[in-house]
Amino acid sequence: MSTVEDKLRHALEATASEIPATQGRVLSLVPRAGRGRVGGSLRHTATSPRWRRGRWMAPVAAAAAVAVVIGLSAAIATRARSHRGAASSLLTHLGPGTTVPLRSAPAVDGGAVPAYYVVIHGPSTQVLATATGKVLATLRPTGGFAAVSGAADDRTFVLAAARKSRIALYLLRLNPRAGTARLNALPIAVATGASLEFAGLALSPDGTKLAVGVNNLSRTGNFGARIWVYDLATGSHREWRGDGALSDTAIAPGLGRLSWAADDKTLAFDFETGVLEAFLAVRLLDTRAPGTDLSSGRVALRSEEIRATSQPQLESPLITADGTTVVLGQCQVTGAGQGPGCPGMAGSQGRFVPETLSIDEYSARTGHRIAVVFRRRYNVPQAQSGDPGPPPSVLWVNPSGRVLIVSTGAALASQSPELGIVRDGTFTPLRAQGTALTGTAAW
Amino acid sequence: MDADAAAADPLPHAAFAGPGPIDAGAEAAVSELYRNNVLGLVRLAHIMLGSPELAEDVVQDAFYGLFRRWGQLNDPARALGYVRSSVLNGCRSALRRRARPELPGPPPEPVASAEATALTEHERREVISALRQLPPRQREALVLRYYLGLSPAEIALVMRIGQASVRSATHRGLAALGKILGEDA
Repeated sequence: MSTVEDKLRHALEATASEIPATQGRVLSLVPRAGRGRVGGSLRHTATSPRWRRGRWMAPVAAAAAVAVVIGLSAAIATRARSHRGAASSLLTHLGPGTTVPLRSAPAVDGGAVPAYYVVIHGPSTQVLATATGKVLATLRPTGGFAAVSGAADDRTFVLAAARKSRIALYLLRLNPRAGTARLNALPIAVATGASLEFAGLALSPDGTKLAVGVNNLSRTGNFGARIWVYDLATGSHREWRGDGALSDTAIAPGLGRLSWAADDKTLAFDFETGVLEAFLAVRLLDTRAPGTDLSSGRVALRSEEIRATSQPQLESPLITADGTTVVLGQCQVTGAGQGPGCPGMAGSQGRFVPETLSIDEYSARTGHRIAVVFRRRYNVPQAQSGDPGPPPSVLWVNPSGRVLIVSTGAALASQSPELGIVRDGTFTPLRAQGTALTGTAAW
Repeated sequence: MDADAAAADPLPHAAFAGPGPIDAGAEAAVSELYRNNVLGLVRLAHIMLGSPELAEDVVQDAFYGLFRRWGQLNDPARALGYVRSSVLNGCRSALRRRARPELPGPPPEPVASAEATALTEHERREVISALRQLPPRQREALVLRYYLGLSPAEIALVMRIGQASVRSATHRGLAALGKILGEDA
């Protein structure tokens, strides 16, 4: 019994086996006293006001779904045509799609910061205003979406839906002048198979390429990762692979966040090996260079290099547009004798554990920290006192890396993270609520 | 559904989409799901709560909730994920209702089992006690990973957090567990 993982597995199995296989009540499908709905009938519940509101929404949504927008307003399509030639552009062959009304958003920071962002809220997907946090458009696709990524034009987004054995992709175009947001299914099939799981996606700044990452998390002792980069003009794609064997201490290896540099060819991705001593590495992949090996990507940053000085827990690395800088959130327990940790990390000394949440910039060339963008300190009650809040995360960064949209994170789940703009080290909160948005929101 | 209602939707990752009449086969479908999964779910709740009776209550409530909303379920294949989320929510609520300064320790009466032979009873109780000292998110991530054997993507759906958060919670939980047990993770 060597590792903590083994001990934990066996302890859990042994504790679970205290419930014998023969034990078990007969399922009761009537309200149980103390459930809070005593006496309530099933039919009454199904027609509660909330669902009645949904009933009239259904035909409205259906009507919206058949609305046709004449012509393509796609700057992305224009870019795609210039990239590959109009005749070969898949985007010009998109069907009518679904169109919903879109209200316009006020400019932010004189236009230096995107005015629109898209958030996935379970079955509904919303377009919101960065400045106010107000909902400008709502889409309710069947099955919902899993991830979203945006181009640099503040108008073009790609959404992904994880279906059985495939990833369905959709293009969302905002047209504030026409007051519409239009959703089209992209004619690209991403087959993931039974053992591959969707990890994330990133739309290139010019909107012509889409990177899709999947992880192979088979429990056979091996792990693997795939990145596919699709050309949205032609539908063609390239594949990069990374495979390996799990070590004894490995946990949940896999690809993390994907992001593009402004050159539209350099793709940054973080790969968590799962080995505690080398938990995360950020690599830069030249997608125009030959090769199919993910490990051919140059390592820009390794977590253990940073730990030598600050022992952080790294979150959501994002490459800046010029490809020189990696921006990421960190959580660091700053009390003496404490190890790495994020909000809510257990402390064993004293009543509170001091923690620092920060967003830092690292050189993609040397791996050295070059700037602290944002920093906030908390005194966190010990483990039993609360659920940890979301970690800090970088949600958008401008080409120079000096203006960012960040979620501050929170020490505890009972505290609300703030969404804000960081410019030259100064944090200006936005009215919108900040949450753990990484992957489910895009600017 | 307006924005506020969408934000308040208690099932952000579930496959419920709008209204619909309760299916005539709902009872049969939920009953079959219950038969196939009740043991594992009660064991899961027992690990979280340390009480077989409370664990059964939580699981019963979860299936009752599923039955009530079966008409809104547009992908029955995701029903198990939904009910797992409900069981975890029920465990959290039960722990809050207890209003005790510390989470419960392992049961006082050691129970011999084939699985327990790999660990002494003392070691097992130490590990479970350490697990229950962890913050809820870390504790849940570890139990879902190392007891149910779920992948990070599956855990993310059950816990309604991102996969990166799952990895972080698992990593941090394991490190904290090792620290409490006086071992390197």
